[in-house]
Amino acid sequence: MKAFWDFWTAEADARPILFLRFATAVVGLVQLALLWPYLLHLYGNHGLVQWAIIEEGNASFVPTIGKVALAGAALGIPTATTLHTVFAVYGAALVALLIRRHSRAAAIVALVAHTLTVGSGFLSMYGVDTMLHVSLFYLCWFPTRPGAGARIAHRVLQLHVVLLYLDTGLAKASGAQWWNGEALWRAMMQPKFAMFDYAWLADFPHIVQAAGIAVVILEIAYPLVVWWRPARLPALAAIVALHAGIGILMGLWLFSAMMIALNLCAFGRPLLDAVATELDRLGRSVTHSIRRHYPTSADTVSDS
Amino acid sequence: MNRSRLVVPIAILHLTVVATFLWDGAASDSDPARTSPVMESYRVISGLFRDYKFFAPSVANDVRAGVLIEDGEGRTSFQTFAADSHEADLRVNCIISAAMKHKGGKDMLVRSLATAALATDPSGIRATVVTEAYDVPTMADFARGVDPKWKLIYTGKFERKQP
Repeated sequence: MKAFWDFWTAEADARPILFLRFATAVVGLVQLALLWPYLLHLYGNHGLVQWAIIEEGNASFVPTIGKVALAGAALGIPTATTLHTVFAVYGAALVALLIRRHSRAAAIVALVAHTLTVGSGFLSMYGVDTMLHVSLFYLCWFPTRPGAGARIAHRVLQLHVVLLYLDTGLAKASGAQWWNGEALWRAMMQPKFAMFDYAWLADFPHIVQAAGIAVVILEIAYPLVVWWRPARLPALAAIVALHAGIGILMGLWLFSAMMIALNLCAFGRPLLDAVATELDRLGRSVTHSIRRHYPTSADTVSDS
Repeated sequence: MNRSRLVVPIAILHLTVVATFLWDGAASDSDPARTSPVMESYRVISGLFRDYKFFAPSVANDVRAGVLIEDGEGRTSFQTFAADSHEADLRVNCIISAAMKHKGGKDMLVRSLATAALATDPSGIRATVVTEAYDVPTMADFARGVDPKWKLIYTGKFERKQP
């Protein structure tokens, strides 16, 4: 029983959660900047999918942009203004998360705004939206101070990541395409993902097949071996390489960035610490160098 | 018992819900008959509205759609829904893909695409939505000379309602 409580509640600092907050805000803001010119097209009532169609399948109590816009329309606010306001509020909340101002309130506002967009843009969403939403949900609850709460939060994140890879790994294992290499081949050859010409892969079917099997094995093994300390770093490196590959080769940059961030938060603590230490050292070295050439008045006083 | 020990069961309960939704398929099936509005709301708020079976168990065909718009004098123009931004284009692709897979809602979703196209061309009176899937041959067939090609999978004709 002691091991159980130690697993969940041993004192811990909140650095992985702080990194999750930073990464979520950055990915969310980049995504928002890329999508801003297309908001009416993707989420508007006169866009590709009218709100009436979206609302028809909505069985939850959760409001959507459409419902909020209807309420606003009754007050004379154009629906396009409401839509842009929701996304502007979302962006402002992400900025607040990024600069660490009223972080919990910012996370709640960002989650509420993102939930509205999920309701109205459900059909246009893909993996990055799901992972952003999950992160925002957790950031509403996760503490940013050291303590037992930080440990619980970290464990929840770790176990969620484990469930994620079990789900995708087992689903891939159940499909013949992942064992004979056709899944990777088909994915790479699709116009929407073809960042480069991959036709040459057909000349090396065994390599493609081996890569497909490696993905399945990695995604099923990762949730198990990542708990074993000696295997953690190699497993993490492999999963980060997988997502970096998806980003580079298939153009799914935002999704890959979000997945890498989640994995680093969950299992990359030593790596994050090493990078933070290195950045800190670099920062101090740069500051020292600048101050040697351009001493401040305080430096001048202390030198004399 | 301190506060953190009270939070642990809630955390475990949440993760159990996550696992159940993934295992049960509820995360990929929003059939209102399967879940209560309360669970459905929790699903949406906590991000369990989609499963994590990315590219699994198999990789579907890429799809694209366009609309042939005809005005009152028989002139036609063709519009695609492609966006200039890769990120926006991925989403347009998701919509078209969802429209093609939507149980019973395909016509309604395609009508929505036609409406969006007609809205950009006030002189248009008829819209024909054409949807194609990118058929990728197997590696073996490709090596034998079979090329990938766009195949027509759906057409729908719609007329603007006169006021």
